[in-house]
Amino acid sequence: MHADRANRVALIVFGLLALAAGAAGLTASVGGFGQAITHRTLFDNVVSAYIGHHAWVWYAAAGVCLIIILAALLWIAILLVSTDRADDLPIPVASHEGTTILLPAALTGALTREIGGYHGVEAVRGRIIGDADDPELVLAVTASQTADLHALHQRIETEALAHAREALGKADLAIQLDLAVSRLDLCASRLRNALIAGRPRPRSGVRVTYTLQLETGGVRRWAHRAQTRWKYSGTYGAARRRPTSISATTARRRPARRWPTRASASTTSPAPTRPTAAPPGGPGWSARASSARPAACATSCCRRTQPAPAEIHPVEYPGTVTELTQRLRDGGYLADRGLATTMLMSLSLRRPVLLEGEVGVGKTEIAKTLATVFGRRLIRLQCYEGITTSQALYEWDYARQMLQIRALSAGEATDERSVDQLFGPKFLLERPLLEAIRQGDRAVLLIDEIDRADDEFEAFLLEILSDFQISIPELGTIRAESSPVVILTSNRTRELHDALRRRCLYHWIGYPTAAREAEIVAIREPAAAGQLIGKVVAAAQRLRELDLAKPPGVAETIDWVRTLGVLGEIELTPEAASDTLGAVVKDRDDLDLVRENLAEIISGG
Amino acid sequence: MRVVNRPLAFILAAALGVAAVIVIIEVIAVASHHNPVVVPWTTWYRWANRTRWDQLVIQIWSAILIAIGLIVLALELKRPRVTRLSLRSQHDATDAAMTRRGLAKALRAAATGVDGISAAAVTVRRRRARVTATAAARGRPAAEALREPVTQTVQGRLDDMGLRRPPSLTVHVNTRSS
Repeated sequence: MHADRANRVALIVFGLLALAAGAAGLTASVGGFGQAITHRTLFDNVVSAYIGHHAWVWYAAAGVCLIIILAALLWIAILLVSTDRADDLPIPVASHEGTTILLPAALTGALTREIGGYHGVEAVRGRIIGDADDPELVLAVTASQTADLHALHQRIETEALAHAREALGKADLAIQLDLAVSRLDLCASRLRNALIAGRPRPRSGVRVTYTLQLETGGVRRWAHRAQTRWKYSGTYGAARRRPTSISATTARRRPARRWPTRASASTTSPAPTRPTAAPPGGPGWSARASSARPAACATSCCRRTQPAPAEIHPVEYPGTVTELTQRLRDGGYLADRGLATTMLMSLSLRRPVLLEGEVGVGKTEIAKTLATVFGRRLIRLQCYEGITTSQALYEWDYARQMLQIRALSAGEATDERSVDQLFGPKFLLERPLLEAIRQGDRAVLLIDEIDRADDEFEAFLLEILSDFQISIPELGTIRAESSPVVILTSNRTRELHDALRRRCLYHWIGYPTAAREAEIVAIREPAAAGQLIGKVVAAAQRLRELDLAKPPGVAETIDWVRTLGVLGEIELTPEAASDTLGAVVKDRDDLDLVRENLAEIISGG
Repeated sequence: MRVVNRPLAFILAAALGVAAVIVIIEVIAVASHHNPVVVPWTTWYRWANRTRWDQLVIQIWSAILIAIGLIVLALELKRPRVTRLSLRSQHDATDAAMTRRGLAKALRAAATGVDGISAAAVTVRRRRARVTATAAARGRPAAEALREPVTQTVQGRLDDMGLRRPPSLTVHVNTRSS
């Protein structure tokens, strides 16, 4: 950097000197310094006369020239070999531990690897400049065009750059981060646009919906080749005259892909104003173009095929228990401090939470509320006896595979690639766990009633909760870019294994106090009268004191208030309570017991 | 700027060094009573002794020097084109930015991602971004209909980037020429 600054200063001085010399010459020439000088010759002046009579001036000039030569050589050397890169970086350690030196290449290499693994990153370059005692890290990150640049920037700052500062022990390490965008996806986009633009045109008055199925390619030359071939080999023109199914493929066969992708786009052609070529022969027109693609593009393209919400932005989770409690309250969930603290720890540490408690106390509800208030997608895996890993992870769509095999047989297209495609993403049915791994921190994964699943399934969950990655033999390993928020619930119908408990944060949700329960009911049923809520809650509390097989939870209390509201009751009379007991008591023996003590339960006696 | 300055600086340094070497050689030659060795300076001396300041050749050389000086100064003092647009950063010591070309590519991708847009050209300056999209369909009404979705898409993309001072957006949608 210093060489560039020196260059600039020297060139400014040179420009000023040239400008001054030219201006002086022109001024002297037009008589600006007096007519006498204008009519003199160039050397007819005092200085020239002095130099002419004193030879030592020339020797002095030679000496100055020697200095100029040295300066010029130094300047050229700086231009050619100077670098602003920092030397080895000393790491602060205790004096008795000796000296620890960190090679700049080691730091930049580690950063490059870390950031290179982030979703949407295609290339990373890093260097460390300045003095070793006061270094500056310069990072240039190239992202794909489909990457969420803001999320990527936030992630680099909070993770990679924080790690760099930690490694150097410099909390105020100056870092310059340049985010650039790759051109790769643009080629796929161009190809897609070229295909759309070249589609057959229907007759006037005919409205046709075209579906363009494009297997995107990441490597530019392939996309270009496919596009070029399409446009100039004659297929393009032929397509307009013969509006049947058309395919455009790359010129040669490509290596097999581990994770091929499809992006679909559909466009509706408005009825043109003038008649053109013949109408399409089929209900639609399809074109396929494929090419080799790098792994970085794969994930980004894959995302388009997922049924996820179009825009999910990274969220800032609350930093304090109070904030989280308030956010949950805004979402209609009244969490006590213990539960809010556990959830905050889970969000901060990215660890699963195991919630145990009686039925109907809000274990499932908190997952729904979290997803709602933070704009995440709720993915629910309802466990049951006999659930298998394939039902939780993924399955192959056998029916479609069979249809495809028949179609291939009919078309005699049984080459290796066609067979490989049978076990591609097109035929993969994602189940909740795979879906959650794909979504990463954009999802809240609710594994509900884990105690109902078998021991084998629980053991299988251990692997998922540890690594958030799965291996599909036909497709390879799929790893979550970031862990989703995971909430497991259990009703304690059986004891869970210690290994699973160790991987989770634990919280027991008990029955709330009467005041808190009334507050919860008031939040969930704001239209209900306060007096009615108070009486219903008191009755529910007393029901829990009875020896019931299925004591009512908060959900039942809310249901009871809601039921009374539907019936237009504003008081919990014995008649109203008797009529609506089904909303709160769900067992025949319990019902009998409650009916016997109904007056006592309602009156509070 | 660096691309221009480095060759210019190299040429200037080399020229200075060569001129200084020639001066030293000629001074030594004169001191040892020899004729000019490298350059015919005696001829130049005689030309300077008979050339007056008001002659046209002096005015031409002066104009050339002025032009060179102005060009060099203009190149060095001109405000460089913005290459980075600052991003909102979480740490004071982090200078995060989106490159101008990167921003242009991202906006271009956003514009071409809109159905019905076949191409787009994006110019990004310090305070302004201009998107010129080309509609695949012919006819002005089709282009006008696409203007709003393109603007929304590109503006959304721009807003999502977290730029400290996002440039204002101008969107034009053209139809195909043929």
